[in-house]
Amino acid sequence: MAMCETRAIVVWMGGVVVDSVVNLVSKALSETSESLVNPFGLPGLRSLTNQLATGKIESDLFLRKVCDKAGTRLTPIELETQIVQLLGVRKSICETINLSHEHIERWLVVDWPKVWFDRISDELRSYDCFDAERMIFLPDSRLVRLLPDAFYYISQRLRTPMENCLLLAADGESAVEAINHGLPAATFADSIRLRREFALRQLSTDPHPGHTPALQFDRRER
Amino acid sequence: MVVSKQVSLISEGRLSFHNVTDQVTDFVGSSGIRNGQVTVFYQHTTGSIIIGEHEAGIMADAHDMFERIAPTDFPYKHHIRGVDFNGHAHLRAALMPTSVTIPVVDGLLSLGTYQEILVIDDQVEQEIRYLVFQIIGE
Repeated sequence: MAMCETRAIVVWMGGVVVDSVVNLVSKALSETSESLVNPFGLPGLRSLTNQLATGKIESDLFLRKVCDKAGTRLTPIELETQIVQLLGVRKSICETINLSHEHIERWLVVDWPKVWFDRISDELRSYDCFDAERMIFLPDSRLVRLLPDAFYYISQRLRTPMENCLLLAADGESAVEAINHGLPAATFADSIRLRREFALRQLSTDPHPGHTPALQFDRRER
Repeated sequence: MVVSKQVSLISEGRLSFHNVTDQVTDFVGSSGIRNGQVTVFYQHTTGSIIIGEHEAGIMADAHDMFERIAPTDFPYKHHIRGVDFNGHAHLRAALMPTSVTIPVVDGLLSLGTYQEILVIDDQVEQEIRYLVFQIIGE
């Protein structure tokens, strides 16, 4: 199967440019030590975040349901306050994405509610990585299900065939599902591995990595 | 000298790959051992550890391969006792290693450019999974 020309890099925001909603909630609950269950294994959290990402529920209802599931004494507002304190853009990722060739479009898929996105939009804009008109807000999509519907929605919004896009997915499962639906994908890990991936696919000016000794990865980003 | 550590991860409830290279690297760095071997051992019967490239296409191929070898939806005799329904996971794990050993030279894992330490977990429910890291050396 020959590789098609990549005309657009589509970056899934949560888990790549910023922390994922699942991680933000889990960290917020862990830090307050209020949860009665292991927040990283909270049943149903992923389903709730998918509903949040597709606009089926707003952030206030999401937070209420999370508080109920976690059995926490935190109010939804207190939980949101904790989450907001954890919001931040991964600068090194933006810098790496900016290394891609200029003729390749860079798109951002926003899977956060707008009220949270607005908190980091200025910081994101400062890195000059994504044009405002190349941002896809999934909560506006009202997709029936997040995956794989989002892949087709993205392709439609870009007006670019899937095979000419590269999705930077936040996790392996999403990347595998994307590939199985005809959307080339790479799993994000950190900026060094991302830079190597770009070089391998000739999407940046970096030379092909070749065989090198074990790399020292930047673990601060996780 | 020997240093050991148990770590955990949360299974996804379906076939999933977990890259633990950075955790092992951190462990080696904190052990104080500069030259030796580090072993990563998976303490479960429904998963395995491999050295491989953590590339999405390979993972998609692996999903297809495992489905051909031991399909998820099959009347496994393991299910007869009615305790758990992960027969496919046991069979797949039986074909794969439960541990890997990597040389450590001058404090670094001797991994090649594309080599990563990957846990392949196939447990059908979200559960805590345990690994043991052990480094022997000087």
